[in-house]
Amino acid sequence: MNQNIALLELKNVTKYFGGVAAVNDLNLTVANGEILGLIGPNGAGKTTLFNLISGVNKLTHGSIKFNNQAIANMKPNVVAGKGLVRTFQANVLFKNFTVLENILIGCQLQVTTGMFMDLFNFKSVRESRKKIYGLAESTIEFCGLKEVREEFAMNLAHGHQRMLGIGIALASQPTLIMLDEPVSGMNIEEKMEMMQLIKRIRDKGITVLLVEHDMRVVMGLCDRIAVLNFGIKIAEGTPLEVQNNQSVIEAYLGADK
Amino acid sequence: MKNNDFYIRGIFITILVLLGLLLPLVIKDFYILHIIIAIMIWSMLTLGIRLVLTAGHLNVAQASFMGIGAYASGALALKLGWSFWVCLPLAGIVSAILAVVIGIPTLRIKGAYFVIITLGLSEVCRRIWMMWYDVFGGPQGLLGIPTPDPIKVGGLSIMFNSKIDYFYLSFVLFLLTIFVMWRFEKSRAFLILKSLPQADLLSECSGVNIMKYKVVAFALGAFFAGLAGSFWAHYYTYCSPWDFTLHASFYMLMYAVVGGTGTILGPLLGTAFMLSLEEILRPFKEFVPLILGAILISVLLFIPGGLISIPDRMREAVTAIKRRVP
Repeated sequence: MNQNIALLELKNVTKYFGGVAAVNDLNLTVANGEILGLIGPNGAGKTTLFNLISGVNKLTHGSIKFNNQAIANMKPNVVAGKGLVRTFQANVLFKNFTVLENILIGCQLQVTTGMFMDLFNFKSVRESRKKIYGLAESTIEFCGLKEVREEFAMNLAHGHQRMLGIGIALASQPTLIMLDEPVSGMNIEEKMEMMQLIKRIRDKGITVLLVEHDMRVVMGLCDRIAVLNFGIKIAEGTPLEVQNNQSVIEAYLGADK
Repeated sequence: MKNNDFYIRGIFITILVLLGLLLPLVIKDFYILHIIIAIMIWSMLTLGIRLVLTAGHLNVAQASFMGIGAYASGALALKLGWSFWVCLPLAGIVSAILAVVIGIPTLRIKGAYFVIITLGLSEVCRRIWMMWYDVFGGPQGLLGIPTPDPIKVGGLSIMFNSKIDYFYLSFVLFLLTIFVMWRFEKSRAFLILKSLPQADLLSECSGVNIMKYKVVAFALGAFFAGLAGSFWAHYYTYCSPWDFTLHASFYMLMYAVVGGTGTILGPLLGTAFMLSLEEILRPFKEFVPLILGAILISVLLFIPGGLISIPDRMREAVTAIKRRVP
């Protein structure tokens, strides 16, 4: 994998909600194979940015390029089809489904047979189904959910629910995965497990864009960090650079008067 | 285990089909035969409602799609003299196409708003049938729709002059519906439909074109409603705007909910139970809506899974008692 190729390019991305600029003239590049952390105080526009990239919200103006293809204002399913998937902040899961069924929904991009073909028991359908189940099983194993694979999502522990959220995204075999606060509400042990998982995702060759509040996790995981405040990027660089950046310290702790 | 299930299901289905085929030989009473036909036809409609309900959309225009099928088939047969055997599939297709045309803009709307839209749709359909005299015959509807043309296969001929012939025709349509619904239930499309009320944004962000699946479910329900409507029109030889109102849709919905919307069998059971009950209670006609309403409310309150979930509940209760009494 080439570290220097830009996988995701955001240019002058701007989003207004009424008169408020949630994201203002943002430029950001995610290189292939890296873990890029996106941090900032509450209301800095991190989640809005995720919604813009994944197609949930429409841009006011600006452009987003993924693999040198413009993806701005496309539908979420089209964006996901290009290999860019996201997870959600809260425990957004199919709560009445088992873990396996949850993952199977994530696998849908890999299904090659059509919806109506699926009504018949053709050989190609059976083979496709077998492939998808294999894919689902390996994803479950990858996320460490093997012992709970038949449990309903709503009965899972919080940590497992977050893992499952990532599992659904991973099941579609993305090239870039966007994680929205993957360790929120977790205890230390679960956080360690999640960090291991994210590292494994990166080692698979999947680029990670990470929004997170937990500084220890962000500093421990990310190759580069971008800091947002009031929709504007105030700093970007390695964890060490960002930690010592004056405007970042001001944004988090307030200015020294 | 899986193999065992497969054989049990196979035997079960074979017995059911054989029973269905032999039924007219046992039941000579045309009245009861008529009720069985009605149950089968209404099941086709409740199954359609249930399919769309699975995706989280409450469609109260199902009777209108039945009406679209009935009027399409009736008008084609009456005005153009087309054979029933051409009109029947056409009725289903017309109904399905209209469902696609209506579904694409409306199915992205969720919750109560979709209900209001289908409510309006049902009224619009009724008004069109009422006002368009030349084609749909106005308030009195289409009269004298021809019965299906006789089928002659070798020496055997089905004339469609007795209830028994209609019974077999509706039985075939019924089996077709069950078969397609059952295959659909086993397919991945159904898993996606079931995922939508839980978190449709997550499905969409997983790369699923959710509109496609919703529209297909809507159209599939409408297709079978159209078939049912066509059958109904040629069976009664007439159809009027008053047959396909909101009232009928609400009844279908009630059947589905009373039976239980979790499985295919639920709506079937609900339809059979409620329609039979209506017939049994015919001497107390004034009280029927009251009683049916009471049943609906009690089912919603006490057995939310519908009548079909009663065996499961009993089993659970028995194990609970066993656990308490060592």
